[in-house]
Amino acid sequence: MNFHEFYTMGGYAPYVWPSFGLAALTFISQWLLTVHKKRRTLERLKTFWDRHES
Amino acid sequence: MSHSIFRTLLQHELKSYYRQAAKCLTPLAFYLLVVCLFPFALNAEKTVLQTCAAGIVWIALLLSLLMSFPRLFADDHQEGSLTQYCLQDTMLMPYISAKMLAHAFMHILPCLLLTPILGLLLYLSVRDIEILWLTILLGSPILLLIGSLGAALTLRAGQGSALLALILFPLYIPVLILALNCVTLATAGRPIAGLLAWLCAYACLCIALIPFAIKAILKIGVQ
Amino acid sequence: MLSWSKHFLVPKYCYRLSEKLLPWLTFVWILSLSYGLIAGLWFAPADYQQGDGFRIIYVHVPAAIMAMAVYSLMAIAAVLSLVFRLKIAALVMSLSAPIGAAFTFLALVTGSLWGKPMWGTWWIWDARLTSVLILFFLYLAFMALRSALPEEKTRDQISAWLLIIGFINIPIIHYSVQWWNTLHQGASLKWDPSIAPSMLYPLLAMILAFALFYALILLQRLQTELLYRERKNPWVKEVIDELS
Repeated sequence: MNFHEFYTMGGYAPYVWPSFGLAALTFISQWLLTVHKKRRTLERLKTFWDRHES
Repeated sequence: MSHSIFRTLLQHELKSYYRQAAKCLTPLAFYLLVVCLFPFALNAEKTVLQTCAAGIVWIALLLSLLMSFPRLFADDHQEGSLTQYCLQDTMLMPYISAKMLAHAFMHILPCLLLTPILGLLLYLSVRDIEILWLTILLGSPILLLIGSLGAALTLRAGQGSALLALILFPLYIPVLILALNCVTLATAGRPIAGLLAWLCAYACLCIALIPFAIKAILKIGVQ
Repeated sequence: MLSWSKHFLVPKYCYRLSEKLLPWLTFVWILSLSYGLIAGLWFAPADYQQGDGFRIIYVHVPAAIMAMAVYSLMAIAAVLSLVFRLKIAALVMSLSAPIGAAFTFLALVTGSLWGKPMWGTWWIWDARLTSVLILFFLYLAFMALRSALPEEKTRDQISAWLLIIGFINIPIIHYSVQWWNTLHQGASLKWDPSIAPSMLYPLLAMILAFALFYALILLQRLQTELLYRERKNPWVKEVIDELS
């Protein structure tokens, strides 16, 4: 396989790349949502405990 | 004991339908209306209507049942009697059975009586109407039981029929497939006894299992 | 038995266990994902019938398998949460739903993208495609019901019931759809079961990568939820102090 074949996927590029693109999008969006929520929760809990101690 | 409770509850249910005639006439009118919309949508072409007729009637029945399910347990829950039934374990099962039997009498039975006329409106032959009628007769207990299950699940959700449709329609697909293939096969002149037997078996399975699920779900719901 | 199971049941230990697991899972995930992608997209030979178009299999099949597996897992969690009143099981059940729905959606779209060059249409009412579509509706119904139910306790129990009912119905739906489909049209394209190893290993790696991704997301969401629910417990303070 060379780069040209890889890029065009033997003529199937309009079907193969969107599939992988959507998979990547699913993975990245799920990951970002999860990590974002975890970080925000940690921040909120930190302020909660700071206020609790003072 | 539980027999007489059942009879009292059934009488009570039937009376409630009798008191508000709209409760059973509106779904019936809805059933008729949905079927009558299709000739307009399909340009009243005889061949198209004939091929789609069984599907149209079944979808119309599904929709008209869907209209009545959100209120199935919700009214009793609002006035508080459902909580009473859930507190007494012996009352709950007769209550559920009476509820569903009354619903079958007052909603499905009128629809069944109306079906031959709808078949004629859609140019079905008498033989096809018989088969359609038979599939609705055998399939409607399944629709009713699964629908009551959905009504019990959405009792506390209070969102009306959109949520209920989302829950029920995936569960209705096997019945729809079985019943409508009966009609298709019969029209093609092939034997349908096997399919009708499957439909019966599915109905028996639902009758045997679903009431217990409804009982458990209602108990959670009214807590 | 109890000392072993506490790692899963007691929130504190559950959090610590997932904390320990996460780096390892991430490591294996990156490894299997990169192997699967490179071997699948570059080294695997083109299929003799489908050319390079078959490479969609490396996202489609894992997504479809995970769609089903996540739903089964949720159903098991539903049974555990109903029978043993396990809080963690109810959490696993509710937190899995969005990921499972995302996998199902991915399987549907990639199936459609695969169907266009191979069958000539974006969609056919093929038994498998239809079953996956119905599975997607089941996920949607579960999430819609959960968002509509106001109180947490009834929400967990009632949505668990819906999951179990849906799970019992899956085989009924699958077989009826399959039967309906064979009645209406001849057998559609069948995948050759004797798949070459150079194509199979990347596929297995991708399935592992999808499963691990699910585990990673689920564990992190579980951690977030546990921290929030147990926010008044001292162990949460320890965790926060460690992290900052």
